[in-house]
Amino acid sequence: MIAKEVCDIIKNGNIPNVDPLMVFAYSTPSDVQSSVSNKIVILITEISNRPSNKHGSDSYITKLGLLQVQIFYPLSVDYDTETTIEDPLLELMESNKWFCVLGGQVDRDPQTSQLFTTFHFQKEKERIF
Amino acid sequence: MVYVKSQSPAEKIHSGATPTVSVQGEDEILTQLKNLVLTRKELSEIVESVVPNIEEHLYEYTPYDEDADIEKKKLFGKPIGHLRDYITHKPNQYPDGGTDIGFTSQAAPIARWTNWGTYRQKPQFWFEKSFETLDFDAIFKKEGETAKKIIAEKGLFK
Repeated sequence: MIAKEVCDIIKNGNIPNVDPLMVFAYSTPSDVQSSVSNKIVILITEISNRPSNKHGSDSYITKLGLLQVQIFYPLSVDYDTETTIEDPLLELMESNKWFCVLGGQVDRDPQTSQLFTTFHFQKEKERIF
Repeated sequence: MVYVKSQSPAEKIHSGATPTVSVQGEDEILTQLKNLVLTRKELSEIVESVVPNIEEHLYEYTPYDEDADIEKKKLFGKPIGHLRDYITHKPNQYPDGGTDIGFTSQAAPIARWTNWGTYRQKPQFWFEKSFETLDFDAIFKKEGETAKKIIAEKGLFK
């Protein structure tokens, strides 16, 4: 449930212009999908969460979690998204040991024409026995 | 008489008979050592030997809709075919001989939309799955064989 964990981190992260109610894990609700929100929508999805190659006593001792954070912007924004949203998000994730391994490119949504950014974060977590 | 025993990275991967070479004098040692340094073109040749295998693997994992009418398919007003037909790479792209394997700029947005998902489309992460299932042992083995061949052609190991 790493996506849920990161969802809570972002919700409580006090990132400017990010409404905690518009941060979702796994999928966005259908009412959000059916309309283009005038607020920033953040979606967190899991890519993988599996044992790493570190072992002790014939058993894995850490797990590598990889997840995706997508920031969907409203059709109109009047502030610098990089310094206002993305940099604070990256700092927040780093302070929680989630390190960015990919992303940062801005894409245009094919259906809604919203701009969105995708980041991949990775974290190595110790296994709890 | 100085006896130099060397092992190329490729040889380390494939432990077989250790290649040896006999040289005499410092100049000859330096000349032989230069042979160990592969040029950018040679490094690229090693990488290129495995690119078709990786591209083929990516081709298999790229989403494909056989019923799609590609005659009518357009992206940003321009005709576009099946995503998997746009796999490409740039030979000799980096100084270490490496190259990025991906999609042409024309089709790259489709790759990102389907792989990472969009506002209303679920991510499929097929690119990540493709990378995870790649047979790296076979890739490195083939690269090793090519490296061995190139080093042999340079005349270091006879």
